[in-house]
Amino acid sequence: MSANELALQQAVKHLYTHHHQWLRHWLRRKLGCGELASDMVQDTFCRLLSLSRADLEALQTPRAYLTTIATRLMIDRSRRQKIEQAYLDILALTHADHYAVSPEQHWEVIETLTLIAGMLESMPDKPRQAFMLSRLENLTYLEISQVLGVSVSMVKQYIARAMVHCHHIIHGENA
Amino acid sequence: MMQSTTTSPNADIILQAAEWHTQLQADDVSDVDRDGFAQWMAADARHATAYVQMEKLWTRFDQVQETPVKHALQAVLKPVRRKRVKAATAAFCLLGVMLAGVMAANTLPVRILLADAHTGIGEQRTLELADHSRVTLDTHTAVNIQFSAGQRHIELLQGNILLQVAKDKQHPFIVETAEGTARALGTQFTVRRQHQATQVMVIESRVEACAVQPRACVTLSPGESTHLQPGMTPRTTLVDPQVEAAWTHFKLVADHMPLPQLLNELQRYHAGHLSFDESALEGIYVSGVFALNNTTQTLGMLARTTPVTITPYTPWLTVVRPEK
Repeated sequence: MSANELALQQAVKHLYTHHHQWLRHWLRRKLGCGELASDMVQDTFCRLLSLSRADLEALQTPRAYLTTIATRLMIDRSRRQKIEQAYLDILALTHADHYAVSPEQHWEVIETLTLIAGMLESMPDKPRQAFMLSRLENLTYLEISQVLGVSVSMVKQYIARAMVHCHHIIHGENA
Repeated sequence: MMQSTTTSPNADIILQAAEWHTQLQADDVSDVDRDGFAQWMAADARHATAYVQMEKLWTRFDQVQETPVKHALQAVLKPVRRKRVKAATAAFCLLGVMLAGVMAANTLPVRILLADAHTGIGEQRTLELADHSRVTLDTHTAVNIQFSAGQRHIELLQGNILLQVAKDKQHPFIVETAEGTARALGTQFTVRRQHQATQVMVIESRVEACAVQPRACVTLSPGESTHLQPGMTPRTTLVDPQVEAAWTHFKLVADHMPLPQLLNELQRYHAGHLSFDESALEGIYVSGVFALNNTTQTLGMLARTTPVTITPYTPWLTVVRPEK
């Protein structure tokens, strides 16, 4: 196991040596900020550590792969900023006492919101509606069936599908 | 290597776990269901693993039930994707949207989302209109544009705009807000809406500014400004147009400006929340030209040049306190 981990680290190190400078330039052009680009390079290579060695060694076009990961990270980042802004706007609008919340708690809320928004955004419409009505609005399956105009057993299927979808996102599709 | 495939649940098991979890939340869950579930759990170790994962997943959403968090989530989630809507149902949906629009028309955030043009925080945009007039939208600004049958009409919902109006004596150019109107034939002027008040400032030529209540108008010349506000008769004040319109170059010119006032201006361009106690910062004044397109840098400069400490906790929360 540790020999395997070592080999994986070697493979990532190899990629890092050959491509990190290039990736940094690429990100810098996209983001217009060197500091941020450096951060995102680190994040991109961190993601590589979760791959298997075989996958890494089989990479035909490492730069295309790196830019794919980096693009996904940039999307996550902009989604997070949007969420943060929406949250602050709503707090300001409702005059909620934001300062009762510690920075750590605030960070955690945004973290959770970003993950959840990502899960819900990629979900098909009907399962998403059913799931949100159940989980966020606490409607019963019967009530949801009336809102959506489908049978109760259909509502259950939608919600189960939504759960499977979230599971895929958190634990990976090939589980 | 085979180990992982025998202990981690496969796709079938994950689906079964989701179905059991859903069934056990139902109002009509029966003893037969519970027995069946117990048997299923006992049948395979991977069943329990999958079910525990489902329960954890479910509880992740607990936090989202708090009202502000839930609303933030709803605000960022895109509405039902259009591609999926068939043409026949699209018209019906549109009707629904229009009805929803009418019902929500009085709540400002919805109006801003539906506005013809708007800018995000820290963003500026210049639009060229049908008559070649130009409107520049400052940060966090929303306008509706109505150009039809020779009518030149802009509604400012929130924020700050600069107008460079193409000359057309036949068709006056009108900017409207909730508090009043500004009417011009061909000129440059700015209109800013904040806290239920509208400020009109003229750079070139003349503009007639009228309040809604009381119904009263003033005619403004270059370098003159007025505030339209319910219950106040508009008066003319003298301003420096270069200073007032410096925002169009992402600059703010301060001459002995109270620090809280500067922070409030910076907040309009700063994506994160600036937290400060106005009374604690009383007596601190600033002068200079401040950059609005890099607020983080500007805050850093303020920290060095004024007796305050500025602590960024996250990119989204920065606290300004007087130095001890």
